[in-house]
Amino acid sequence: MKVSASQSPLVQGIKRLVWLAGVAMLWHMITTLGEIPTYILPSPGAVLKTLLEDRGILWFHAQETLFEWSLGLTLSTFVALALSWLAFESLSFEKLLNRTLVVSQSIPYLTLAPLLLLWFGLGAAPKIILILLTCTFPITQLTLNGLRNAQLEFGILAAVLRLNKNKALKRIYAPAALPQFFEGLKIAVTYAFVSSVLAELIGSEAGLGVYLSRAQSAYRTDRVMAVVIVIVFFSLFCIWLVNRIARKALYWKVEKNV
Amino acid sequence: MFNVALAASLIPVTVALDWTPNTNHLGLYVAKANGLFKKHNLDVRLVQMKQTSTTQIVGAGKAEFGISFVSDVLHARFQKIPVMSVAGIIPENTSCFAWRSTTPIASIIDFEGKRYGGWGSPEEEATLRFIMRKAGADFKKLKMVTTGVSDFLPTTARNADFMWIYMGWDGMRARLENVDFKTLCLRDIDPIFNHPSPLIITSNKLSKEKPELIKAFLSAASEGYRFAVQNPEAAAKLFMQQVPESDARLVKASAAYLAKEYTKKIPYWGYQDTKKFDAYRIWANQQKIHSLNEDAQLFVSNAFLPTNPTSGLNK
Repeated sequence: MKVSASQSPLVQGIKRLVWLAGVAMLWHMITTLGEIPTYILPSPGAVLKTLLEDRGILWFHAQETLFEWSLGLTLSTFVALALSWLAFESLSFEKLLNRTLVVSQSIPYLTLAPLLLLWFGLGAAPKIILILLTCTFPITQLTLNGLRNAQLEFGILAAVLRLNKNKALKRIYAPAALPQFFEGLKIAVTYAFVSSVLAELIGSEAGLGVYLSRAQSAYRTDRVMAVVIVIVFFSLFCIWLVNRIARKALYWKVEKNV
Repeated sequence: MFNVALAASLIPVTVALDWTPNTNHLGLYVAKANGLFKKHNLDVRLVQMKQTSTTQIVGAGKAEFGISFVSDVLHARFQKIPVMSVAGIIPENTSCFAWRSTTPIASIIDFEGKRYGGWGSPEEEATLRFIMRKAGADFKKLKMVTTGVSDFLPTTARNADFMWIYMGWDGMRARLENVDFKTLCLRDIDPIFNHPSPLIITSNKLSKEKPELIKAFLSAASEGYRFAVQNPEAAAKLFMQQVPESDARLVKASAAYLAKEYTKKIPYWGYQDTKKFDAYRIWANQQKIHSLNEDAQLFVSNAFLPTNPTSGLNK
């Protein structure tokens, strides 16, 4: 993976702003020219107003979602790292794991979430379990892939240096697999957020999913759009954050002086 | 969330709602805001649900109480889920078939050739088949479109001609949006459909082990609903304080509508006429929805309700 540093942050920022303004303009034109009722599609101005008015309520709900997200993601990362290490060490475990992960990914979560609620109650537990189920997969798969590739590429080097398996993993394979791990994490951070919102939609006391469903039931499309914006921006922020951490951690991969 | 029950002496109680919070739950939110549950030593958590069957959650003991419906309770009992109804929130069925005035429907006969937008339950099909046959209409000419649990206004704008709505919620919303619409209400179509709805349910286990808890809960709920009958506007405000994501105008209009319904033609709030449950159950048997042959006496009880509505009345 190459971490690009070719564009200055200012140019990038301006490009993004222009893109955002364009989307907002188009949206505004559709709502005003099409004379669309607000319960079908409110104007961006109305949504922005709602976003500002509801910031306190949104923050209250976001706290719950963030709590589930951070706990779920942390657990997923640890579980995924443990699983990929075990699978790296043992081929038979890898086979077993692959099958299990494929099965876990083929379950439709919309059907599973209500069952999780039935089994684990109405608190945070079913949400965190759902995050674990959705996020462990991408991190495990990509990290393991990274480890295997590193072994292929640097296996001879490790042999020449006469490193034992543990040392080779620690000093060569694991660092070499880091870029792949971060790719997995990038997928997981957004998956985790969407999973917790989805689980909250199905049964909860607080959370952005609760805000979303209540707004829907009260025909408040402006609020639905407001929370969608919050979710999108949070996802973008997460990816930016992971990219930043990845860049720091993978300093040797960043192209310098470009 | 992060908050823990402050006083250790309070008994934690979870109520699984049937949907997002709405005016069907008004009395419960009033009881929460006015400290009526606390007065009975209860720390009540109202948890909203979507898609998940509240009857299963309550039957599994994950919530002490739940908001449910006659049809759900009958299905649950048929599946041997040990739940029972302990209060009727509204003694009559306030749901209606509704369509925009621009749609040419004058009576049930005109349902022929139209699109019905529903959530795809067996009851909807059976009800429509039953009433259309009775009116001499051809049910086969009705198009059943599954629109999911979607809202009346957006759905009837394009995807369906008529829907099954709650007068006190979707009906009020359409009025607020100044959309002209017409209705045919279930209670006016046939008395078979006029049963209490929604219901407060609990598990058989709790009814045997902690009858006092149920009595305490319903006593506070009763006081909350009676407050909503007398002060709908104040009740709506208390609701909005706890559910600010909802719509204040809609809640106010809905509270005013339901204030006339919560205790209509019954001796005290929550009272359930078991004969109505049996009539609907027998009808459902005839429509082959299920073959539950349990008498309603076995799963509908008024025994936990306060019968004296003046005690502790909050003015």
